Amino acid sequence: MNEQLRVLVVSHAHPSVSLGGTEIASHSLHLGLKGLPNVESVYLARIGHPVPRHSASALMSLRLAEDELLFHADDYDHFFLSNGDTQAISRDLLRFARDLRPHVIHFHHVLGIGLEALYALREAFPHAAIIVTFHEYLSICHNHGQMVKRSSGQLCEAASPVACHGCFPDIPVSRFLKRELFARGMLGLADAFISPSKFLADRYAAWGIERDKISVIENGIAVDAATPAREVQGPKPRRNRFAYFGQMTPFKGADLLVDAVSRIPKEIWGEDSSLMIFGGNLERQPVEFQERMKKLIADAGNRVRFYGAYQNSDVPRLMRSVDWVVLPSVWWENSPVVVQEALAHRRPMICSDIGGMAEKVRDGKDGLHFRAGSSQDLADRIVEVLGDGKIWERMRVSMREPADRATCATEHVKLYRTLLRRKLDAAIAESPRLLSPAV
Amino acid sequence: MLVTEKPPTVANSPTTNTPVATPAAANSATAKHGASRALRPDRLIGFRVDEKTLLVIGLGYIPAGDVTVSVGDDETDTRNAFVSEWRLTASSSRARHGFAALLPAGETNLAMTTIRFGEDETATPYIFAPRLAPIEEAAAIVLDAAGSQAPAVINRLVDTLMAGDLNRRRLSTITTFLQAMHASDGFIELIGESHEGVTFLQGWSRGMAPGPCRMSVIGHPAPMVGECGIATFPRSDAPEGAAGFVGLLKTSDTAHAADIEGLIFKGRTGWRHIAAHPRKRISDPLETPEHIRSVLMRTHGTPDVLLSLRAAANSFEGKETVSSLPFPVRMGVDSIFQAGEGNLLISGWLYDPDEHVTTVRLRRRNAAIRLDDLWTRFDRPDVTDSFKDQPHFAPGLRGDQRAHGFVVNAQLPNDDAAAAFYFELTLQDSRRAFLPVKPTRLSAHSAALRQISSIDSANDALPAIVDMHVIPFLGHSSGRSVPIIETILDAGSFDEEDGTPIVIGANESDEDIFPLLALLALDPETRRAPIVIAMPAERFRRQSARLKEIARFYRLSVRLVSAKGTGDVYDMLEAGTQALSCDTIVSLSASLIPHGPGWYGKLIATAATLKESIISPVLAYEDHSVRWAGSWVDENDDEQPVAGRYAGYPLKAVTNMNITRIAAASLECCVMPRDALSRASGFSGNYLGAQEKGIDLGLRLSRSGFESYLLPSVQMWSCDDAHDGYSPAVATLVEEIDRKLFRSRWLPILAAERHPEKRPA
Repeated sequence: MNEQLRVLVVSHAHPSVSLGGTEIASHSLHLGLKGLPNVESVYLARIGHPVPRHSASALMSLRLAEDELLFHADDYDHFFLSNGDTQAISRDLLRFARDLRPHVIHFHHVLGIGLEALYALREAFPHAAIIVTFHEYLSICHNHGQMVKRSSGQLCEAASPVACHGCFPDIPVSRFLKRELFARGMLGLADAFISPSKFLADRYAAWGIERDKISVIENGIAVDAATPAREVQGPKPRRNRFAYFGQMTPFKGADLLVDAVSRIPKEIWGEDSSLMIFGGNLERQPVEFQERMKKLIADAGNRVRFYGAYQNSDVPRLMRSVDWVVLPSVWWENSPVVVQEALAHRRPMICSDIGGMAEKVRDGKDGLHFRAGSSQDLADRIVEVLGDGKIWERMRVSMREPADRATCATEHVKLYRTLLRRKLDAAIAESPRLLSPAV
Repeated sequence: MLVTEKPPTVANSPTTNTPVATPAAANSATAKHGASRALRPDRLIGFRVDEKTLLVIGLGYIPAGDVTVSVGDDETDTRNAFVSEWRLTASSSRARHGFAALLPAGETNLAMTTIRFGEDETATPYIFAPRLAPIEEAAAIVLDAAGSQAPAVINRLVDTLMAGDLNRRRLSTITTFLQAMHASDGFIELIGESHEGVTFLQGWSRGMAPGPCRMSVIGHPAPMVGECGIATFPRSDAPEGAAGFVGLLKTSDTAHAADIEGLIFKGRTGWRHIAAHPRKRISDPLETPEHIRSVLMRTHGTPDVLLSLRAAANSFEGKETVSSLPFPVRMGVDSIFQAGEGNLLISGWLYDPDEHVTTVRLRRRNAAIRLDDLWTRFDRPDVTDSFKDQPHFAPGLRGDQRAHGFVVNAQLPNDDAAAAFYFELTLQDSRRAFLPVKPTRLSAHSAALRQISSIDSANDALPAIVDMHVIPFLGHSSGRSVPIIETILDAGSFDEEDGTPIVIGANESDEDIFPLLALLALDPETRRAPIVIAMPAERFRRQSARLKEIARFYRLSVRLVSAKGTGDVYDMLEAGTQALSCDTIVSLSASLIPHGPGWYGKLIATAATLKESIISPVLAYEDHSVRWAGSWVDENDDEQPVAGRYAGYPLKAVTNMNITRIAAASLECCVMPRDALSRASGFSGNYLGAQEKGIDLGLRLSRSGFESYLLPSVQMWSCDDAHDGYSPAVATLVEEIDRKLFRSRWLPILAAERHPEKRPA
């Protein structure tokens, strides 16, 4: 079946407005889909305060490409993943969608746009294939979707209303129960789910999503050309340039990394080793964390350089001065974009031994693991690589290729067509009159 | 001049006081005419005194006193008569004596007959004509015939009459005689009502003497006799020989002032009648003390009478007088709640370190209840503190007792809704002080909650307060909490015939109802069902617009019902059922969540096979343990006679059970006949919390002809209710109180029944 496939990709935010990995991944998918023959893709992202809404409609643009649109939604209940402005969904979202007549509606996140959007589109398009890609655990975990215990920072293995109440004593158990049932019930309307990592997929299956509805598809990345390795000079050159790429949230462990670097004895660190931190949004973090980071960086002296925010398009250029990419996250991580980028530019990684990181970065092949949360263990790993002249080269060879955008898009399209076929078969089985020339 | 001097409450209402003009004088002319029918020898003139008594007057000598008479030719009809006789003023050859006799009337058919006086058969018979003359003529005849002896004669007759059965007619006869004789003895000018069971009288009189006096009250529907303590005082405006009088009349039933037309009493010189002046004043109980005080100083009387007048002058006048006591005695009322008629729960403090107060009563009109032998006292350090620095209030040598506070439940019913409540403190020196209070009308439920919330949970007296006052207070209230529907709003088209309606009850605390609605929309069985959502009016105002929109978005057929006031989920469910008229409904508390699709169909299918039944699913906690799987009667447990047998068990232990008969279903989720609630008289309003309230109704439903069942193949998720904003201490109290109320109501019933629903093996 090779007729024109129309896909609506729904994202919680637009990468031009917001810096996260999910936005990049969903937008990348959209671009990948567009690049395939017989596939049309439209990208719809949610926008909100402080951008003002138009009075005429919740839909708007911000001068984006013509196949990219924004949907303004502010009446959002974070706890229930619920959009209170059901009027705008009925009026504006459905109106647009009906004109588009998508075969496939692909949600990345329901954050901001709400589970109600899923319900409305399901009801309006009973024959469309609706897919939800999970990028984190928001449907399961109210603590920023990280599945990390709020008070202790411990990793959380499984959610339950009473356990969640333990992290949020002000929120009664009954509310968590409702959240779970509401989210799972609404998500159940989707035809299929995608997870970029097996780890995350397993978590969702444990939570109650039907396992055979979940597929694992790696996020694709489009890289023009791999950045060549850093030039080294001198008699005993060392691969001693470490870099951190990512938002500066407490979950990402940048503080742990700086602390680890400070622990390394001077004689091992040497004179020209350095840690570069590329990360934005520090000013949005809790004040304690900001203070802590600033102090750690100051104490680390000239070992650490903090460069602030960066754009994804900067990454190739920034990689030029980088040997190792470090992912010190204290939460599970799903499929960090930086992993794809490091794989693309062939920069071995050092990462925590948990979750999606551990899955994506094969220990000894794509990089090295350290014990999550332990700055001492991370320091040991850095000392190891500083002392081992061959390891970097070895890894460069053994590192795998990341999925590229086109491949990723193709895999998605395969899934879409399978789902559509299945739905058509089921509909025909129910009422044979449908076996007439296509809609 | 009418009425007493000086009291400011008395308006000037001049009226002529006519001591001389009398009814009798006006009638004397008539009497003279009638005298032509007058006395002839051998004939008696008869007059009716009352239904059973006649008066006959004749000429001749009959000895005074008790005489046997025989009536008619039949010698067996003998009666006892009382005779009073006189020497005729104008004697003639025919007779020198006259007499009057009182005798029983006998049969009413008075044919002409003869009457013989005395036992001597040879005594002359008198002819007695059946036509009786008016009693005024009797008076006139006696006056005329007996002259100066008339007063004595009449006195003797009245003595006899007063000693017998006093009825209205007889009193009227006596009044006529007395009026004929003495003209007016005076007037009652002021009648003061009181709450002390006495009536205050004031006026002027010639015949009254200071001291106690027995009186008959004329004019009251039923004649009354009472004791009146009389004191006299000089009055310049009273006629010659008369003086002012005041008295406190005490009758067995309280006389109504307006009914008093006059009094008959025996004064210094014989029987007297005193009329209430046509322009008499009647003073309200709150005004009477002032009247008494204005004359008290000038009165002469016996010490007893003066003391009782003084006490009456010290009665409640509508004002607070505790704070003006010259002793360290003060009182404050923190709350006084009234539930129903006269069921009161009072809390306050009485500061009385030197123990001047002997009794404390709560009063309303004539009713009173003594509080100081009922109440529970407890420490009020705040009261102690506030008085310790005031020089006159520091406790005497007896030291400070700190238990100034009190809580009491008292019953003080009274017909008059407008009458004021007041505290009456009686002190050692027998003076009284008053503190008017205004109760707040509340349901027993709300009042009890407020009371227990206001007491520190660490207070030692709390258990006693709860057991002896709060629980009885709840027990006394009629306890039916009827929800009142304020508004009904349909979101879109609502047709209760479309399916068995789901009635959702949402109280104040459970704010997020939209996840439940979304789940109902996702379930193909329930998305078409008519849904009623009942909630308190305040919440309705806040949320109805949003709920309407949610109903539109999910294409649900919803009827929103707003119920007046606050209420728990059961009140809301009841209100919701009232907004429908179908046969069967499914009730659902908004704090429950379906375990999965299919629950609704299964409940309804089961209900179709079991008529007149109430069927509930299992309620499970989110951790897969049982919250409720049926209520069962436990004969051996007096602490908890009805318990949830499987509470806490793993869910799997019950889900494979078959449908089971139980003692009480759960109204939080069930399928039932819509009118079941009203047929079982609805929820009891006495319980403070929801748990026992639900079981109580469940048991009553079972006894109203409905079988209760558990359907274990259907489960609902649920969590324990938040405590509706109570502190944990109050929540614990609420549970304890409800358990006790439940036990006291049901243990006797269950023991009597030895209910067949035994614990399952």
